[in-house]
Amino acid sequence: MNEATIDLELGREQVIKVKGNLDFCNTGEFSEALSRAVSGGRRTVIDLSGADMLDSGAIACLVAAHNKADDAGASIVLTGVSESVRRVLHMSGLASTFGLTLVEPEKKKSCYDRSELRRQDWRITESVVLAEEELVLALRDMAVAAAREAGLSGESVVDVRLAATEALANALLHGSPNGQKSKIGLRCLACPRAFVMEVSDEGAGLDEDAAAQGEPRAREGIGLRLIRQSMDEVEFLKDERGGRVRMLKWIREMPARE
Amino acid sequence: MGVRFGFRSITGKLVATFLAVFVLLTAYHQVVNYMHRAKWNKFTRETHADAAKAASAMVEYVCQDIISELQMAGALLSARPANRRYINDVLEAFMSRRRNCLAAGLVEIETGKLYRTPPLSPDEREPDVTTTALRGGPNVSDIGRVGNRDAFVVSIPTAMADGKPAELYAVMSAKAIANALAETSSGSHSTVVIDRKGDCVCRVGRSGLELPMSRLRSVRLSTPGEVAHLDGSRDAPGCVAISPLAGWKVAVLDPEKTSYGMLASGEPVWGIAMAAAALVISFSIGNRIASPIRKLSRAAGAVAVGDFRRRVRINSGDELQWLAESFNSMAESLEAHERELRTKSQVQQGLLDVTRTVTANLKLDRVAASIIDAVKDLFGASHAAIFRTNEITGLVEPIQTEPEEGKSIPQPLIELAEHALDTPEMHSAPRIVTYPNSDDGGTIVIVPLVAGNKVLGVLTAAFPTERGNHSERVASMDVLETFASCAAVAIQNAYIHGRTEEFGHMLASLRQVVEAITCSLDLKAVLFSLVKTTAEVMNAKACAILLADKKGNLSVGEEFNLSKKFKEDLNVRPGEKWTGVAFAERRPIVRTDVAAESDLRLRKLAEAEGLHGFMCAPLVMGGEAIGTINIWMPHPYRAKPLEIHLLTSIASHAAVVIANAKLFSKEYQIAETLQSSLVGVVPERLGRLVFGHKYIPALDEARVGGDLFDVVSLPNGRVALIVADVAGKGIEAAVHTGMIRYMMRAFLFQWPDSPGTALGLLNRALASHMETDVLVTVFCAIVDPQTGWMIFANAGHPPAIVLARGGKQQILLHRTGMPIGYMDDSTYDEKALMLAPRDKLLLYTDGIIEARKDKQLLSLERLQDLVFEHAHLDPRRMVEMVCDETSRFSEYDIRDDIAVVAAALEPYDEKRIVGAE
Repeated sequence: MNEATIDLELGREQVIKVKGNLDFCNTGEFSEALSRAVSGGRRTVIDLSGADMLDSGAIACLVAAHNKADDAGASIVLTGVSESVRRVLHMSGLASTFGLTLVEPEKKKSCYDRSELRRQDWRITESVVLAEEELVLALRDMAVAAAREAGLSGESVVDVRLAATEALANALLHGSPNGQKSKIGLRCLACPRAFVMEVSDEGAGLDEDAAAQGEPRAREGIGLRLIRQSMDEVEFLKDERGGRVRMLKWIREMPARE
Repeated sequence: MGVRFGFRSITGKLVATFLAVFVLLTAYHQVVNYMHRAKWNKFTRETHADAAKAASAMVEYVCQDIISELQMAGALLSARPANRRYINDVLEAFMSRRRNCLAAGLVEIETGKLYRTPPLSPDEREPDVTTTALRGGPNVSDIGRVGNRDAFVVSIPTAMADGKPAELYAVMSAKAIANALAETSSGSHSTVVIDRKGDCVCRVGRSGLELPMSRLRSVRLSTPGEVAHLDGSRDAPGCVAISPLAGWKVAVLDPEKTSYGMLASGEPVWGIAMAAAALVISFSIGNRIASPIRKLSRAAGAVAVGDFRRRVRINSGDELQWLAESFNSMAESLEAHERELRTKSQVQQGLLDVTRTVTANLKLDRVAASIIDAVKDLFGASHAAIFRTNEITGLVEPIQTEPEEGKSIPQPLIELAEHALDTPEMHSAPRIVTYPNSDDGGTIVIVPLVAGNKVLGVLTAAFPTERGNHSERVASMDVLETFASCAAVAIQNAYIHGRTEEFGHMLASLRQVVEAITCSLDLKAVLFSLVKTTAEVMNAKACAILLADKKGNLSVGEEFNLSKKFKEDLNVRPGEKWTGVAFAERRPIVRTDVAAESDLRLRKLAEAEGLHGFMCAPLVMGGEAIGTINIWMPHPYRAKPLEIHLLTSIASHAAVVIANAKLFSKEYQIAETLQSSLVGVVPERLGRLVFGHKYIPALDEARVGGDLFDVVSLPNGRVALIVADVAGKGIEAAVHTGMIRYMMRAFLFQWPDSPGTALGLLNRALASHMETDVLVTVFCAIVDPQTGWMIFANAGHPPAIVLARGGKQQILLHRTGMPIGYMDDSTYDEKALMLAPRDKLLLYTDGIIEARKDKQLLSLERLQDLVFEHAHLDPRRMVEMVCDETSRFSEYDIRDDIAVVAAALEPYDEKRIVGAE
């Protein structure tokens, strides 16, 4: 599924070329390459021209590497930053760290009354998987498919994908309380007005306040911010089976029916 | 009781005792008196003796005085030759010195010449003095009269100056003595002097006293100083002494003193003897009175401490004897009473013990045995037995069925018991009857055992001989009667208990059979469990059920433990053989031993089988016999009424159950046919699709439910999987089920690629055709068994589960539209999914996720967990697992139909693919 590659070229300046997605599947690899690159020379160029997107883990790695390079008197330069990556970095609030400037995106606001949702005939897509990376990625794909099916397009789909990635990564990392392989569920509900995505795990659930107060540059803080930024409404729920993140994306235009 | 007098009465004895005491006191008094008087007398006598001695000494003194005077005169005379004158002067001088001297004289012995002064008158006679003088010593003569005076002469021999003997004498008046005595005597004493001849010389003292002269004269005294007491006479006592010079007796008389002659004559001896006699008498009488009282007292003491056998033998003939007799009779009655009491208490104790023993048991024969033991131990019966009338045979038989060896019941007891129980009076007015025992002369007592106004039987007891007295016997009869009533109650209890136990056993047996035969509705199973459990509970060796066909011929429906030959012989026509009779007459038949029947063939067969006792009961259902149930015992057997009841009850229950099973088997076949046509047939495999399925109807309805599943092979090579749940249960739901199933088939055949269209058509068809509202949830999937491409639509059905990625992912196929019948114009979206090889599809109805334990639902989440856990199972076992877990979760109380279908897409058969290439 994940065909991302991270190439490290060591020379006068270290160049890391990233292709594909940087997400929880290759965070470790990316982190290792970064640390090698930063410790290897004064200037590290990260070529993100092939990268589709970053997730919170990758951003956290970049921040850590940047800090390390600053301490060492080295520098990290991002090149080939695509619009979507730029958007993610911006949503994370860390774009300026890397010397990126971008246009402030317009803040999306709810255009529907939430009470309308109750009367909708929801189309449900649901799947439960064991907490394995590959399966979780399948769930993310399923969420993206459901979002498309629900009528979302363009940036909205990217947003859903980002939110799904962050929520599922969180579930994968924190949803197994006893170390055993627990189950992660994805439930997408679609109606003409909104797309709702629920990610459930068997963990203790996300303590929103604790996450908000945590280190904003840590992975969790970045992830939470990404979710909030990418989706319109986010709820953190708990029940006896575990925690659940409910995320809503309003659908602005009716999907064009064929 | 009057008062008896005389020595034989106590009164007499007391009188005598008082007399004796009186005598004793008198005697004592006498003795004391005697002692006192003896002392006094001794003193008196001594006094008298002293007085007498003093008096005699005085007399002696007077005489001696005179003699000495005379001697003085004699000396004067002898000093010088005398002449007359001189002699006269001397004599004169003498006379002048002596008063009371009447005369003095001198006689010359040789010459006889007398010199006397005063001169002797002629008529006077001079006392003879010569002789006196000649005697050689002074002499005092007896008293005589001189002149008119009493006088005596004192003479002494003397010698004249010339030596011529002469005698000098003096005539003394008696008064000289008297005066001397009077001077010396004192008190009341009278002193009497008697000369040798016994004439009274003088007397001094009280005059008028008659002197006991003769007694005085008779006193012989020889020695001077000797005294003689005057005792034993009526005269005054006194003492006599002798004056040696004169030879005169001097007596002192004490007239005031009584005579002490009696004292001397053994008076104290009498007193002592009387006292002794009185003592003896007193002791004897006292003893005679006291000893019986002592005896009585001892006896009473003994009785008081409980020795009631003590008796007192007193033959005194007085009140004490009466008392002793009364005491004896009292002791006797006490003894009798005590014995009676002891017997009673023993009996009561025994009764208590026996009651305890008797009530400790509820077995009739044990109760009877303890009663019989009690009768033997408590009442001393040599034999005892309890008889009752057997309800079945009408014979009188002992209750204790197994008499101990060597202790068989004597014949008279049996006969009398039979007689008693056959007598109507014994039942109308039960009472104890006593007969003499002709065998050993004892008695036989028949005691009716009455409980609740009903004579249960009789207790017969043989008593060896007449025991005790009449009252005792009567008392023990009373006790025996009481005991008998206790015993009767105990027997009644035991009897009732026995009956209750029998009933309980019968009920338990019946329950066992009924439980066994009602656990199934399958005729074969019912018949089998019927014969098996019936044989078991009846302790029979073999058992058979014969069922009648339409013509009424009986044939073996099921048998237990019968050989084939015997079994074939059992098939009969009505009225033929005992079985046929039981069937035809609809009554139970009981034969003690079929191996002893007259039918030779049957006998042989039964012997070969080892069958003896036989019971047969008709299976009657609604007044009509449908067969019989026969049992055979391994030994000759006399059935008890309860056992016949039991078999009859089993038969009637069995008849109903068999009839039901027959009916049910018909219905069941219909239902099964219906069910299979309605619920659907699922093939094991279609192409690469492998299926598993299970349908569990709800427990409380017929086997036809509202769930359906269907797997249809469609014309385009695809396979349709349908699971639906029609609201409601029972026949109506079943009808809808069938309808829906075939409608779905029809629509799917028409639109083999579009389950949504088929569901929409179904909805519209039902909405337009159904008169009643019907709500159906349907899940319909169309799978391409080659590629695994799946299109599904879900009309309100619980989500089907796709188990993908080796069981690690579950995709839930949620509804894509409203349930069928919810709205008239529902449309159903279709969704598509690609099944990978080994992916599984699990379809189910809400009976699974709505299975309840208390108020808890199984829930979809639990089902998902289960499926995750058992993801490796193949479809058939997956279905089994889901059904089992659901049943277990709901504790085997399934309230709703359950239909589960699982399908798995097998991977390509590489060999086949290779072969195909």
